[in-house]
Amino acid sequence: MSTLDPVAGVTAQKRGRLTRFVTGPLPRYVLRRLSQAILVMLLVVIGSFILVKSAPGDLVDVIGGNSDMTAETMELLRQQYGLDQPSYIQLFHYMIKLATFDLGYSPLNAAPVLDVILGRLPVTAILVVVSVTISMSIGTVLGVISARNVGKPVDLGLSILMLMFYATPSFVIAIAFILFFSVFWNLLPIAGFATVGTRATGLMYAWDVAKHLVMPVGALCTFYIAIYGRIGRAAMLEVLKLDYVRTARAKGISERRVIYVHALRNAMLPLVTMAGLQVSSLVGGAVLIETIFGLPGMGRTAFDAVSERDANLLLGVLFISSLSVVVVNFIIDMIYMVLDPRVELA
Amino acid sequence: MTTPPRTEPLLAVNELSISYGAGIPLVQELNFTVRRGETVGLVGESGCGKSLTALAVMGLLPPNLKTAGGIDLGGSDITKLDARSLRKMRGSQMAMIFQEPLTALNPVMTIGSQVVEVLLAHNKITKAEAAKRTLELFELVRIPDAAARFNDYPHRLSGGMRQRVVIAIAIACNPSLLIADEPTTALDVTVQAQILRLLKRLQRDADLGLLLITHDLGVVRQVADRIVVMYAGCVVEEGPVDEVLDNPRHPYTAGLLAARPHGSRTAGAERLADIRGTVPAPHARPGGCLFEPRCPNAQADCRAVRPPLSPLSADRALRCYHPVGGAN
Repeated sequence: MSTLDPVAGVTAQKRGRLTRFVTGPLPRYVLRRLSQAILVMLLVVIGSFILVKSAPGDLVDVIGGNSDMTAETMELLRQQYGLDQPSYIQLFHYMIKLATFDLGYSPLNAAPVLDVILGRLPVTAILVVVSVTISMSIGTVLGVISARNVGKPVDLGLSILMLMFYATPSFVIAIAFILFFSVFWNLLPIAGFATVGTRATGLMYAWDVAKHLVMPVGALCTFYIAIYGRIGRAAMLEVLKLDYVRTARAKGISERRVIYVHALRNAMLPLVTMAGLQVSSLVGGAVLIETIFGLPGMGRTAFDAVSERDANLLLGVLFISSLSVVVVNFIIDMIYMVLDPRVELA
Repeated sequence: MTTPPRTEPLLAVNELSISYGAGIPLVQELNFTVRRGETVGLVGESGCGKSLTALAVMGLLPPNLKTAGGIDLGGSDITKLDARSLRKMRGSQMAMIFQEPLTALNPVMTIGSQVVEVLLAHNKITKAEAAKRTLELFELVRIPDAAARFNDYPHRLSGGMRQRVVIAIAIACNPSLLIADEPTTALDVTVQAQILRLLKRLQRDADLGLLLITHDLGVVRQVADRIVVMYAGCVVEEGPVDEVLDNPRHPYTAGLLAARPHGSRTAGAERLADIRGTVPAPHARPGGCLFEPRCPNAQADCRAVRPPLSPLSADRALRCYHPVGGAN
């Protein structure tokens, strides 16, 4: 085949971006990132263990407080759970079990911690993925519109809107949503992940879940829409001044193409960084929203674990949350590489 | 080769003024023409309005700058076209090469796709045809191993190679007017010469009108047919390159020529001549002759009324009461 085959050239171009991940120094890079991740997780485990154990009170105190228990029975219970041993021994045992992915037993739920978390992770995952997608898309579009109309009434109006989104706490928005959409207008279910006792399957079940998620997702999004909007506006203003945008205009291509193909792709990096931060903070941090809307997610689980002194469950939530943050960060770095060919594996 | 009749100019800039906001004039009453197959060198110091003029011709001035006067390209007035018609002319009838090849290309798109894009914008062709044409263009601008380069990103290319890509984008749709804004300033000397030769060759082959914007009189002498000297937003002298550079009449042109370093190495001890003073800022331009405060020949009448651009001969014009070499 001739080296000047243009069709081969174009298809190779499409492939080019993906083959960067398979060929080249990727395996070594993954290995290096993996060893870093293990170190990070080790520090997280030790750190959270020390924190949790240094708080006064334990599970037995909670159980004992709820029933008439003698000091001897409580001591017996402590021995049973291994809570009578020195902290470093407990940590050692915990880490040994962790190595086999055994996160221990949650007395609160009367089930293994891993099972409890695996049951709740999907709720949080759906919540996080949907909120990140929605807030990022809306925020980015609003940012682009602001930047293109900088200084004009549209920009001013959007700035005010974003300021309001930014300044209103999400629980206030959540309560307002409930008041209007559930109480006054009766449009959406007030709480829960799905209708209690529902027998719906497939699409009907998805529709049921979707209706339940509209308000929590909306409440989680407003703040981040403002953040993405401001970052997107600033990044676009920066990029629109650059020479290659002028080159693109000089080509006589449509303004839409100039904005969305040439400028926006270059302005995406700070937005992607923000998405990483958003995922990290929502994975374990949507406590308020999960509580208000009665969603059995990770934040809610952590909250319950703290109030009931269920150390194993709390440690498990912290462990899984940190693990997802590490994984998300890795994915974000990969996205950087797709977006900007100048970012090389290092 | 027979040259076609060149009575009709390809580009005619008529009394063009560009002003900032309410009324700070940046470019005033600018007149010049570019014919097909002709290279016009637009020279002057930084800030004299050369690049603004180029952007005005492309219809790419920022919206806070207002223009008056006309820019006629191939029969239509660019200052009066709506955005859509203007966009159709950009890239297809007029194209521009920018000063900084390092930043003129989009860093996240392959160089091939950046050329394909302009081809698809102005021609009804398929992607594959555009890719084929892109490779031809890469060969034309002498990018070695063009097929392998097609999928490279700009950061993998040297400055000279990137400028070749920018040139390929500019000539992709066979424009009749090519504007080159300091195309070689950011490149080192050997690459400079290659790029200039390339531009000259492309111009000759396609009978392009080339507007070359530069502050380098050496480049102008090497490449241009005619020269237009600008000072503080006005044309001060224009004419055939050799005549103007060998026999400058405006004190500013003469000053520019005197300020050039000469090749002789023995003159190492000699200090470079300069033009005393600085270019006046747009809001602080004198009412009379713009060059008067810095001019060695200035007299009372220069301060009173700004001299008009008056013809010296059939193809030379001058804006001066007291030219170098005495009045006519």
